[in-house]
Amino acid sequence: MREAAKGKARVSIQNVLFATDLSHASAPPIPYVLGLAQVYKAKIFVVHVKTGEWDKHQEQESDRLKEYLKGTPHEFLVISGGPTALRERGDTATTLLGLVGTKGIDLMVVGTHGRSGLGRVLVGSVAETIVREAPCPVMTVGPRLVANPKWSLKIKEILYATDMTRRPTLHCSTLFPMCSIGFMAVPPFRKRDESPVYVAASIVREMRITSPANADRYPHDACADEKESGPVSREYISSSRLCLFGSSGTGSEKLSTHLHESLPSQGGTNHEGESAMKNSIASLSVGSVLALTGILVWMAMTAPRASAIPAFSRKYQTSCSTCHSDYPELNDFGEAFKKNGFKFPKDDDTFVKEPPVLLGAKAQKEAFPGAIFPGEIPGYLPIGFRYSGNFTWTAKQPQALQAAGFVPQTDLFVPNTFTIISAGSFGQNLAFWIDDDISTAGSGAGGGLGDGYLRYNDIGRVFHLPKNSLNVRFGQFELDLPFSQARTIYPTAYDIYSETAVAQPSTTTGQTVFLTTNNPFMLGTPQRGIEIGGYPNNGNFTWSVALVDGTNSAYGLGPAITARNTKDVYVRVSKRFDLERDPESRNAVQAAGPTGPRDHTSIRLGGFYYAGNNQLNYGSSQFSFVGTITEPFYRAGGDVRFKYRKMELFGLGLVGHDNDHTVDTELQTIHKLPPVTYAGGFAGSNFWIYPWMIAYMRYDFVNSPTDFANGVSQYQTRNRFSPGFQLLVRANIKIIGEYEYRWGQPYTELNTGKTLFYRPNSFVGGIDFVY
Amino acid sequence: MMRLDQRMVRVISAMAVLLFASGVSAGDIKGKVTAQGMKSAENIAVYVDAIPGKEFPAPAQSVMMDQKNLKFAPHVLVVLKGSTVDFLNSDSVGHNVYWPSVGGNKKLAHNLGTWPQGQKKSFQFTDVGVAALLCNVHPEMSGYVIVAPTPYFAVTDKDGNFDIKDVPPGHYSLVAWSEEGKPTTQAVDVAASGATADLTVKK
Repeated sequence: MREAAKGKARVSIQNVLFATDLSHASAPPIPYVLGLAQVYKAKIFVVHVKTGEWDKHQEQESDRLKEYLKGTPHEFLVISGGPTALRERGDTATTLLGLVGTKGIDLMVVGTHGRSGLGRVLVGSVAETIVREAPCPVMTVGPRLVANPKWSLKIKEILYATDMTRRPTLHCSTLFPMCSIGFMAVPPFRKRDESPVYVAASIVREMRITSPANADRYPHDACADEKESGPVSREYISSSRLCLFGSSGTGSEKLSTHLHESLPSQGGTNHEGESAMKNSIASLSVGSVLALTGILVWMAMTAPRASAIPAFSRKYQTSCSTCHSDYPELNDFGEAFKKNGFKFPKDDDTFVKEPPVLLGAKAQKEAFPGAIFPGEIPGYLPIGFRYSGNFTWTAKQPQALQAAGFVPQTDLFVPNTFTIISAGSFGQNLAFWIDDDISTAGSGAGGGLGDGYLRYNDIGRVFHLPKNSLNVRFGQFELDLPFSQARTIYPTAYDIYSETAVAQPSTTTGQTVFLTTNNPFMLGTPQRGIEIGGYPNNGNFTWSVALVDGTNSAYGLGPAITARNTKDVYVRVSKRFDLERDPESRNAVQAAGPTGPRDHTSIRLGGFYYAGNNQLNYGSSQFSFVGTITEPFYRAGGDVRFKYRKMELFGLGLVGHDNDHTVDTELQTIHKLPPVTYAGGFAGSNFWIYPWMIAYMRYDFVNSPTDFANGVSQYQTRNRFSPGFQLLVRANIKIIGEYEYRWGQPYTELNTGKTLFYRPNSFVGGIDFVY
Repeated sequence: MMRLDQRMVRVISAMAVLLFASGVSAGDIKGKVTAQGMKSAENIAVYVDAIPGKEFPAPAQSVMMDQKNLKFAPHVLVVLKGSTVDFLNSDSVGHNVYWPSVGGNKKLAHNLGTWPQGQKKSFQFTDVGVAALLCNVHPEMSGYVIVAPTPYFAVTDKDGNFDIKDVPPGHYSLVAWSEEGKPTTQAVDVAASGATADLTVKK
């Protein structure tokens, strides 16, 4: 054992088998394979078990591999595997394991896809089978490692994980793969005392250790004291050089502070064995360092400071601007957070600072259906409040209009709303959102429930679909519109969203003829129903289909209407073209910028379609000679949003189409008329002058012949131009201002009877704060 | 003859002093910092102020500052002038490190940009002073790098205790820097066996 500490390695690796499926998951292991082969002067056997025709990526990967392997002794083997999906996995693993014997393999290296959950159960993992059954050591390299095959190998920090509850004899065990190396090389520790070494294996989620079945080939005696049945003492560890350990890897170890002191520092020069090892390993920086330093650092952290912040801010103890570029508008990280069911896109548990309350222990899952399936609720009540109050100035109304409906020239603090928002997640897959404007009194205030829904995230997992490609939500919610009306930064609504279809007045004298279309449906109001949708591919593609009542839910924006027998459908698809050049930026949640992460440069194009049937004259109540009149209607449009650095450009256009009828009470007939149509949209831009100063301008237009016929505007098209600014005085307090230059509205002058036009231009300014 | 002897004695004693000063025997400065009007005495940097005529070479070893769970770890890091600090990102979210000034000098502001999980960026601090570390993505994050003129420094623990190791005997000026309080200076005489120093830091 002592001899092991000086001089050459006890382990010799002459043949390395690198199993690849030529997918992206097989790229991370390449530098390790090359590095190890170089260090041990080993021959590499690259094996691909072919289960079908190669796609383009696989062709490229195979060419690239051959390129990397030039100059290294190797053999590239392509073997045909079995036909069906499940059997494929078994066959692949069996084929690879068979080669170990025939080629005399000393070490296998495999990449893993890191599948988890039902997907893994259904499809299995080749890597897992190999690790479990291999007659030689296996090294797995997971998908999250980023390493460049051109680098050379230098292992700086190695984590030794063991549960220390039994003799670390070499027996097989596996943990589900997530990422990172499962390569066990133990650096010699400085002998301090005899207390055993513990490692927080619970934090290290990616340990894969395996052992040779023919253990006599490997000097495991050097690594384990056969006589001791308790934990292996430090002495043995310090005297061994390269060991491959087996462990059951349970997660309840504690980290001893001695571990930190005894691990060699990054330079690592003061151990005899160590320096020999250092010389024999060529240089490459290991991309993903295991959690060891993280563990130590985590324990050394100071207690967080408290500060006043809304629900998610409180939950993660982070600023609003982590998710919001200008609240409530979300930045790329906020979008990813929302799409992930209000959880951090990766490793959410490590970031949550308020532990949730468990409604059932995790193991209750196994007791189901004998017990209620376990869930959790947020630790502290996830409530945020928002107050916004605006001061408005409107161009002075002419006398005639004052008589019709007086609007004061200046109005201090209207609209004036207090909203309560509550949102969060109930564990892995369930998310909820409720918000309500509870100030039902007060001038101009709309009251009522805005959104109230429960969402099941990533139900597609069960059907083995890509992550987040299928989510479901039920309740009341704003439709998946291209630009959210409920969570807009602007103090005024988008004109086109508030447009309704109302037929032009009857041209015949008397009231015998009615033009029926009177559809008060507004696209921008919350609807009630069920929506399924998804954001696969990191949200680069989004789709949703909703089945809703089609009533404007009371939100102060439109008249509430009773539900109809028929239900409405809303469909939306959009595609984001990520224009980031650097592939790492493109695939990360936020792009890397010179002064920190920023939103991706991107352009999103989308389309939407809303279809329903408006109905009137139920039970022939209005016109006795005809039954229920059904008027199908649709709203269809497209949108674009371009983001570049501090600027955002966006636009939307849509058309509305309602069937129209004419009912003649005298002749007791009903005819179909040309439909009521309208078109419109908006275009605008936002610019972040500073992170706290945002300038914008927007142009809204609505072209509605029937509105024009009804005397709403001077021309057929109603235009509005609104420049404005937002100042984030603090991360949670805003001062806003917007000037609106509006279309001309016709009115009849009182004395002369002339038709004149009035532009109700206005300025809105106000405060908005959340906590 | 007498003068020659005297000179010899002086030379020999000077050499002896030099021998001692070169760290042949060195002690620890141990002590406790009391924080008045502040929440805790933790994370207060205590270091020996510049010794006139003494320059310390930049260390070859780099020091690490990590970002984990949306926090800088350690919160306060003291390094010798000329040290290289490796800023590591251990989080699965994007981070950024920048400081608006070093020792109040805005010209020394620097932004390290962004880098992914598991990687690090290094920076060599060649100017003495305090750099407040900030993150553009997570504005609540804060950390400090204190660039000290000497390699004799320590950071207080939860109770305010500190232990500066291997200080050669001599007369020094000890500086205590804290995030919330004002910097305090105190003279300390270090003997071969070390010294104790208790400081008070006020807001």
